[in-house]
Amino acid sequence: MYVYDEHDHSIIADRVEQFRFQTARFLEGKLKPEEFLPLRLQNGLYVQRLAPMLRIAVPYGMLSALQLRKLAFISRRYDKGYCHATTRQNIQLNWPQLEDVPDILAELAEVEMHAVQTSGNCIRNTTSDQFAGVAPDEIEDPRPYCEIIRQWSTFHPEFAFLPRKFKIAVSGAQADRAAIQFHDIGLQIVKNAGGAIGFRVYVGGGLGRTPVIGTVIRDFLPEQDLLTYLEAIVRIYNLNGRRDNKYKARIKILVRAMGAEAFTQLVEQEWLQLRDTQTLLTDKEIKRAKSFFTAPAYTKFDDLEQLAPIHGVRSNNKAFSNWLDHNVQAHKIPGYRAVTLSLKPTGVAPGDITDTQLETIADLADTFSFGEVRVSHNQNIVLADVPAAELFTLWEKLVAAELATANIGTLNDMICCPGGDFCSLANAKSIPVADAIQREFDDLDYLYDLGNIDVNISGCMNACGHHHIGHIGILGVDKKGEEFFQIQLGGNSSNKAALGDVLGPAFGSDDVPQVIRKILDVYVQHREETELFIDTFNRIGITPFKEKVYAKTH
Amino acid sequence: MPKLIKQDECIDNSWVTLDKGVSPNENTQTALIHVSSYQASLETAGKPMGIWLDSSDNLASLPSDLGSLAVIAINFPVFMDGRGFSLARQIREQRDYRGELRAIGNFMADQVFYLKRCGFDCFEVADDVDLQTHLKLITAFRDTYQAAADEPRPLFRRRG
Repeated sequence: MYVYDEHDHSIIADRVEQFRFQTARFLEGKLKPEEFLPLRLQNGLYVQRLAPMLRIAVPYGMLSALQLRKLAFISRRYDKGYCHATTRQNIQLNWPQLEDVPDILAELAEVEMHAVQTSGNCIRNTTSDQFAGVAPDEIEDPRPYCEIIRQWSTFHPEFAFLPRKFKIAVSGAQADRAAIQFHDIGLQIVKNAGGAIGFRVYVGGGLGRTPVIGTVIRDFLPEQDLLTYLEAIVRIYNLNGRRDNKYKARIKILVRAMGAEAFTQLVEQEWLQLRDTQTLLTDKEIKRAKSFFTAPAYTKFDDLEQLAPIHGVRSNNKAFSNWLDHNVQAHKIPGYRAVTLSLKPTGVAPGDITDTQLETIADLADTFSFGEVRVSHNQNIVLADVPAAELFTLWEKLVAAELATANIGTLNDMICCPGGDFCSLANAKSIPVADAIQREFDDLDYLYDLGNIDVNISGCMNACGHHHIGHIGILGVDKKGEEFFQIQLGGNSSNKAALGDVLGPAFGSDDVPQVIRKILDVYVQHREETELFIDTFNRIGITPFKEKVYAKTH
Repeated sequence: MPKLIKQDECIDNSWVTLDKGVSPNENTQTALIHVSSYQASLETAGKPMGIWLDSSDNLASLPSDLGSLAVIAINFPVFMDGRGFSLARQIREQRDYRGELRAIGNFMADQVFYLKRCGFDCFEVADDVDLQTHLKLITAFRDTYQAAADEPRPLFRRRG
């Protein structure tokens, strides 16, 4: 994990003091609300329906046990004893007091954390694969590059007042687990024929009101050119992106309006001015970044030997066996596994986590996983380096902490935005819909039989719940003051990126679980052998689903 | 009359900013002329004093010789319009302009640190702006990660 040096500490400490000064001037009336607005947003501070919301940055999802304990302390001391994992791998506090925020930032700085650029029209937290560094299908660990991008984008003087927010994601594996084609810039690590590392560069993807799949503007960008090329892209966007309408201000609209070819030409021209500047990455810097993400002190295990005791237990313990099948993922090192802690038990808002759970996870990370965890963009927590022989012991502790719900990848492992319960933009309450679906589908065997299905719920068209790219997407809409939910089918956040198609007219919230059931009935009726929901959908199309859901009952 | 802050002090501001399309006459003293009127003003006034660009103007609109200009000013129509940050860096780093680069218009005090990093060295501010607050804000950070107009080396080339 990256460790701050004196420069990083100085920069973050200065930020705390800068924000303390800004908050004080705002509270004294010396800074107008409209001036304070972008300043607080770039510190992750929103004013929401009921209270401010503070979004704390978790760079590419990595957290240490020490940081988890600090988050637990902050949740308890400054909030109501819980916080929330977001789809940008960040952590949100729902109820802090504005006056306390400078102190919270000072607490965070003690453990090398901050809330820098987690909101506002600037470059946001760079996201990545939650299995970075341990995935068997990895080409190269993306985290050193994420850290290089973090430093470059942090307080970038030119890019703090962009036309709109700007999100970058990096994937280093064969399978895209970071939805890079739905980011303003998506970077896929590739190796060329000579074995050199570079990036396939996607631009102009995004969700929101106008969902777009990103376009490749470069097949191979050598790693040393990463920052100069990013700088060229963001500069072209900053100078040319629309500023007259916030719904048309994202880079995706510019790329579409200009055409990808013309846009790329502008970027390449600007890059000629930048590519040989000192922002060109040095091998020394890439090596330095990589030195923070070396393999931990793995024990040399024989995989089968490690698993033997586990196999004995699993045959007599169905709950443990289910958890092994769904919450435990493969690891590139023999004898190790990655474990996903579900933040989606029924009855809890998806992604919510309590102070005591955070502390338990910190202890478990110290005991079983080299003291580190990752937040996933699916709003769960991952212990990435667990010795397989310890899985049963770990499972028992996770059960006690209510973190072992064996639903990862299933229908009930939903991505869900905070919705109308918290968010002032929302048209509808998304959390109660997620809860109703979980209650409707409480039969685990049925869920497992259905296989992996991504269900994503957003409370409005801003799409924080990524509804366009759920296999089943649910969007809250407002019709004359009443909440309705539109269903979309066929979205896909993986390498086979796709946007969902709208099924038809929206439903009242009470009807949603039954509509989902009908959709699943169509799938079960049509699927071939072990075909996944998304594959059946792609084969048979939306019509059979429409016919079933909207059939007149005579 | 708005005042100017340059090199940590307030200085007299005798400059007037002429609207777009307006050229100076013989009586005009120190004026910022919009870049689109630059050629015409050369013919009437003989010697241009300073030009200003709006955030929608681009690098290509600048005259080929910047050496005779006393000032280039960039206007911020609203503080959320960040085009001026990029424009300033391009003028400094690509046109190698070494003269005064002045921020005018509706930028806000909390942006001056970033403005300075992008190459601005003079700020036209309202009369009631407090110099001490400005100085505190412009030095908000002791250290920076990126290269910019004020520092060609990113931190990774300065780290030990």
